[in-house]
Amino acid sequence: MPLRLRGKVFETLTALVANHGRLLRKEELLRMVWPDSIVEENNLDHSISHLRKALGDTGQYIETVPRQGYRFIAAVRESGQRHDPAARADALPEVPPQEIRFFDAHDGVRIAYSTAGNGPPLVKAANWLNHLDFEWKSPIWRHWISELTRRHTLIRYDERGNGLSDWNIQDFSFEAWVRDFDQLIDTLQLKRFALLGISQGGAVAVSHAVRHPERVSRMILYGAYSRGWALRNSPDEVERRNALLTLVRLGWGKDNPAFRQLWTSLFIPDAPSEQMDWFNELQRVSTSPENAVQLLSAASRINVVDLLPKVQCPTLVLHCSGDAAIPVSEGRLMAARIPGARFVELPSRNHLVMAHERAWEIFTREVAGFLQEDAAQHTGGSVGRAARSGRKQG
Amino acid sequence: MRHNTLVRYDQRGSGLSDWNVEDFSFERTVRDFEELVDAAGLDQFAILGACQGAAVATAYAVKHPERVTRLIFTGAFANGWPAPGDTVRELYNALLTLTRLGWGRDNPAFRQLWSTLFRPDADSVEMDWLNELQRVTTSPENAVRMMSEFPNIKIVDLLPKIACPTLVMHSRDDAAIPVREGRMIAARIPGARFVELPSRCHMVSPGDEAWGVFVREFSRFLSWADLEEERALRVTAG
Repeated sequence: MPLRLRGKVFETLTALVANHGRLLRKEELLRMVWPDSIVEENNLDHSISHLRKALGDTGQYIETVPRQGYRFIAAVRESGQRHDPAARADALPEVPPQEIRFFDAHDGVRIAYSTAGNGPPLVKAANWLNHLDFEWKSPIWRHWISELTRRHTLIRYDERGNGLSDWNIQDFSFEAWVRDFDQLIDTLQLKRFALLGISQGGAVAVSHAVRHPERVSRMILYGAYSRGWALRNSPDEVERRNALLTLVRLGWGKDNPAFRQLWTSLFIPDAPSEQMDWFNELQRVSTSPENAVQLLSAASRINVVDLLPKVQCPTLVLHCSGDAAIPVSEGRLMAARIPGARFVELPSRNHLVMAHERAWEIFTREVAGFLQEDAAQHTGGSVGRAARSGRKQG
Repeated sequence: MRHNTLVRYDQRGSGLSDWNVEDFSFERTVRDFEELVDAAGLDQFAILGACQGAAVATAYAVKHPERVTRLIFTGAFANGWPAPGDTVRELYNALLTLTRLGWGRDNPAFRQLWSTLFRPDADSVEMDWLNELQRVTTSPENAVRMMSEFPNIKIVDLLPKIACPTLVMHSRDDAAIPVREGRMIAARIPGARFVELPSRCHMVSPGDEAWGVFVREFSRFLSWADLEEERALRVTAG
């Protein structure tokens, strides 16, 4: 009878069966199932316990060798069909290869950035919890990357203190984030580009767009905000956020995923459990508990409300109606203050929309349409001013 | 309870007892216990006190020494929980704030933090069950009011007045209530015996390595072996 198993649970089974009869030490198994990252032992214990439940194992399949590891003891028969273990990855949308490079920020902090795809540049301002490499393989981000590289060269970077950028840093301020962004654009020598700001990246995007209107052709703000939670006039929210900060500081890095799960449920409450596991893990690999607290505190004080009326480029603001991480009212505020901005509310409770959601269909349609307009103008520009000015309407 | 009649009750504000409650004070819960004893028509009995239940048992035993034959404590605290200066205090405050603000009411992630604090070694099935248990046993408002009373439960001064044989068990790596608390309690109760359980869990349960130790010590203390022998003799005599 076929069994449905989640990714890591399936991989645990594959590893055990491939080595049936042999004792697999826990370290070996951890390396086999999580080759790209260092994870705690209890992830493995969880996988084994799920596997046992799924198999109805009462000791006939998997033997526990106390304090050492596990051994698959049932008879194994190879069937005619061979399944490529990588076949599962086919279920994820295709993405082009990315190239990761680094630049040194003004204060010597090393920032990692990535380019992928072909076409006019689309730059994504860093958001909370980025990891260039981990995201590439993750079902949380892969559909985003796939979609955004379809007609554009997508440029991403890991915020200072995050992912592949330096973790050991002094300056966590919003001003430093903005400077890092400016420097990225200088490094890439971009003259004109479309800009995407997600979450706290929205404020960085706004700041750049206002200071460099000649560079930014259009701007997409998603799940974004112009003022941090400390400035939203909600004492309850401040108290709640401070409690969450304490939990991050106390428990995030511990070998106890319950602490990280809390954050995951705040961000993607309606995600399938595999996506939740990925997000739990993303938190652990993308930054340290100390950095997480610093980054969250800096984000709480963001204030670009006064810059919003100065944005000159066409702007599309999208926000999920039930977003528990950033209230939709913050998205509406941005759209209301940016001259001519268009607002699209997405039907989801997730802060990051998942590939299977209807909200994702709407997002891709809206964003593709919005960027298409840019492409049309872009082509017009490059074909020549004379041709365009010859028309009655531009 | 192979050889005893077990009497349990749901604390006011939880389970099958009334949820709509004004008074959550420690004094009130001790009076509830006294009333339970009367209602059940009990004469003499042993008390098992787990966590804050140990403080209730202590207060009762000191007030009614003639009634209490034996005390068994597990995961007890005597100087409030979390005790002043306890490292878990920050975590406790943060969790209480989130409970109070009702965050994650329909979301188990937040309840799971309590679950892992009390039973870090639970497997995923048990975790789900513990998360659900919290949801069904009481409301967030009652949980906050009950938990807010815990730091005020101070019975250190009563410990030397306990007159019956007492067994104090505590998990060696209890993350919620440090084992030194159990040791302190045992040291202050005249003649009390202390057993350290090899566990990280605040409460041990069947399936834990420490459960065997718990049952062995528990049954020995309540003289189950003697009772079994006695019964065997009676059967032989009969």
